[in-house]
Amino acid sequence: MPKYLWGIIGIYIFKRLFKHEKPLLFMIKKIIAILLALSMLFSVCACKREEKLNYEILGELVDGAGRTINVRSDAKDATIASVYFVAAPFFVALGLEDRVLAVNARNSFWTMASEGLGKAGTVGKATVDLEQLARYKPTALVHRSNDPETVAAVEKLGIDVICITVENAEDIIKTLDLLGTYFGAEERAKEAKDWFNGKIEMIDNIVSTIPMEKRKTAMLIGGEPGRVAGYDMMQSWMIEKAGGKSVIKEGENHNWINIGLEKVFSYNPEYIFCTSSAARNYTVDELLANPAWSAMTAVINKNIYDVPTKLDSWDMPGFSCVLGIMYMLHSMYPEYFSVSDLEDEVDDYYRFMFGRCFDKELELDWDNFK
Amino acid sequence: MASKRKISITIVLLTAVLVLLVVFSICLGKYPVSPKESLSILFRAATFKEQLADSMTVNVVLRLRLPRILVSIFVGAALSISGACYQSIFQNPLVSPDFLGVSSGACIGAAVAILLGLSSAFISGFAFIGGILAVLITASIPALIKNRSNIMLVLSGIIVGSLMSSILGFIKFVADPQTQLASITYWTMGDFSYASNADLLPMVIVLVPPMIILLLMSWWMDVLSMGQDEARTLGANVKLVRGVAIVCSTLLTAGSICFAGSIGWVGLIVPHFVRMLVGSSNRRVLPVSCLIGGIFMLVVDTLTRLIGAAEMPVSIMTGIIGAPFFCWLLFKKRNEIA
Amino acid sequence: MIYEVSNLKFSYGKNRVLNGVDLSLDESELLCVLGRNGSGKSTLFSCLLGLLKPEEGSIRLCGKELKDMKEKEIAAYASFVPQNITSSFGFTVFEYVLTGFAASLGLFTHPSFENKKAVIDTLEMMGIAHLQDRIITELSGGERQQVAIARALVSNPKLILFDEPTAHLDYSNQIKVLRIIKDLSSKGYAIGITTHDPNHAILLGGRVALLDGDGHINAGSSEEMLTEEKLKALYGDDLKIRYIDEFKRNVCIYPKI
Repeated sequence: MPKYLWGIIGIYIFKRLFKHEKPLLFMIKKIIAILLALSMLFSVCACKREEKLNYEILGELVDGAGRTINVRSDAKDATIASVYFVAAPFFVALGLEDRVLAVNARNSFWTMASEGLGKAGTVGKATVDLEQLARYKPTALVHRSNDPETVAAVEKLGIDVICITVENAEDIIKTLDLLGTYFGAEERAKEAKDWFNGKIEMIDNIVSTIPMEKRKTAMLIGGEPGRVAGYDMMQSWMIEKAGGKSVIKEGENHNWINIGLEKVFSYNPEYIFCTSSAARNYTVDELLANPAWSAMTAVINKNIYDVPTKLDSWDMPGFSCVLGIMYMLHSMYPEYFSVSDLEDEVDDYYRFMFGRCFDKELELDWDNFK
Repeated sequence: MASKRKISITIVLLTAVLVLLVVFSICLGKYPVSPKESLSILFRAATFKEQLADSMTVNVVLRLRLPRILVSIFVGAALSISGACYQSIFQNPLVSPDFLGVSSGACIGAAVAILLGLSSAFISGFAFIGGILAVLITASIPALIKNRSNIMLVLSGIIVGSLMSSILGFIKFVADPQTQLASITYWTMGDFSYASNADLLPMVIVLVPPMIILLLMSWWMDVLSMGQDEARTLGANVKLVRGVAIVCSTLLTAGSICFAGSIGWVGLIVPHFVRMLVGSSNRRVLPVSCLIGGIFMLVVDTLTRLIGAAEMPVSIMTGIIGAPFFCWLLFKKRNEIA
Repeated sequence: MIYEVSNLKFSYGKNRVLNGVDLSLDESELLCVLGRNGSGKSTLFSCLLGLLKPEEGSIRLCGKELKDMKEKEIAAYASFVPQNITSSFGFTVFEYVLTGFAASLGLFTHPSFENKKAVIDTLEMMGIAHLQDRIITELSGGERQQVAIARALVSNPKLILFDEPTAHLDYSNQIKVLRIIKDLSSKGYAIGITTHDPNHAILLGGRVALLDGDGHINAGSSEEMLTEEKLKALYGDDLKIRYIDEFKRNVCIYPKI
């Protein structure tokens, strides 16, 4: 029922209840008086206290939201809290797990695989529980860059806020630099950047050997089969990086864009990847069995793939996108990038991140990986 | 009688318009199919001839567009007729199919199923149960406080509606913002794009019988709209007639939510528009509401299919069209509204 | 005997409205129930129509216990003309009168051609056939009352109950409606009517029942009941009954305000 109708009915009831004007007027006066008293009380409480800094400021940094942050002399002891799931992999990549007091990981993999994250508490899921945050009293909150209200509120608590933006490969490097510098882990940040750039370079080298006529068209679909990763999304960049030709063209730039099934059908890509970073209302098997989809090239050749979710989401903006790219590369061009290549690279990634592999824990069966 | 002939002409005309629009709509879409080809595919399918076009094109026309068109027509008709009936039953032209809390109840049912991680069939089932439960609660509040007047029912509808939206808010709060929240939010907004031929049979089974029952008892809606006491003095078995009408209307609302999510405005504005067109007698209002509701929903859904690079949920479109239209209706009827 | 009411008791919560009402209404008899506002006239009619269930006592309609009768049966004997007809919807006069057939139709049946013809005939008889396509909410109060009466008549009842039929009408329409009621009475319909104006009771003749504030009823012929002392007891004010030679009837007047 449209909201405003409730309004009409509400006004009617209101009128019924307060047919005589006096009680209402009287109440308004009373309410105003109470509000005034309360506001005075609060303004007394809100008197500012100046606090002495017990650290030196060494320099300045610009975060993902374009804000300036001070680099502190006690960076190596700085503690972390976050509700932004994108941040968790960066903490691991930078070896900061033990300093994380509160975290929100999308996938339970992270808290299982990392002892530090496993011990961390939580200060909310999408939104920050300010009181809880104050209780943990971390040095800094790592947050998404489109939430200025939270930033302002958290800063009032005397907690630094570092906003991160991770939409493409460049952002990943920047974020590694930003967090590495702030938390005094520059060396590890350099290692991570080198590892990341090295992998991208390796992928580029493999892709360059694939002749143009063999390149496959592909798209990555999101929550529903008609909703695809827009051209501006990392997922589309990943397809291109993996040597695929993204059928989503420039202009279709609306994050997860609902282009509709007819459009998906008219693009008819050879390969379809299904996201692992959003809730989906379909499964790959359903698509393969759906008679409406039966004439799709990807269905005929059974080339619809789930981006693996057993580990962390490989198509999520972040460090692990390297694995997502490799997975796509392997799916589209197994003759250039075999299962064992993929297996080795996955092991390498987890060894770099955690110092060990997870084949056993996750019961990974590489033969089923195609 | 003259009025009778006029109404059959109206019905025939509207049916013709609907058929024309179906033909028109099947030729339109983002997948490039020429109208001629679409029609030949449709014709060949209807006459069981072998298709000439490539199977992709056939799939687009017969498996994407056709079910979508049919589901939107049925849902539009179901929402409109149930809206017209609710308005008669509760003698309140401002009542819409979801005022008894049906929609919010159904959304909660669906949200709970999503929260529990159940499959899509369960989500529909839960939605249906949620809708019916909400109506039961709404209907039992007046009985509990021993005042069975219509205003009490409307008030309890408001109570249940806001309670349900709080519960839905709570579920959204608890839900995983990255995974479940999106599906829940999406469920609360209507959409026809994933209608499939497999939906058609269950939809016909769920929606058509209550629709036929309501059409058969359309004259009794006139009696019911006199109010419960007056209807009883006229000799109507109010408990039975009202009960059947409420059950059927609720089935239609909850059923259409299961097939397309919740879509506002249609059940409110279509009956109003129809009354302006053919008068208030429900013998005319109900069948014409069915037809115009189907036409309206089909047109709106075809527009969402065509406009822009991204498809808009149809409920947003109905709101954009419905709100100003309703304003215009209120303006036209301003003298009748006390 | 149409109605036989004995020892009827009814309360809203703790408020006893009807306290042992005995009443009867014979065929082609006209009964005028007089009482102050809120004295329970409408409640009495609601009990008579089966809308309210009495706590005690029995109501017999045409020889049957009312509580054992279905709405259909009650409506077949008794029609009801509400005080004022309103509708949230713009029904036409024809459509409105047609609902008077509700008692004789099943859940999935619609009014037949005969039913529709009967509506036209009734409207013609009432002299309001020209109104048949008008919207009821757009009619004047007097016309609306006539339409309501027409609906009460279409089902061919033995008895018609009027709940203050003149309450919303101007002077000339009051007379018009009273004339129709008198006319119906002379055609053989049993009629029950509530009013708070003793003059209406005098004009209509017939029997008069006085419903006092304590829920008791006292019935008799109009000459018997409409006396100054009884009216004073009922209305608590000095009302005078005077015989006007010129019109050969009594009138009830307030001497002063």
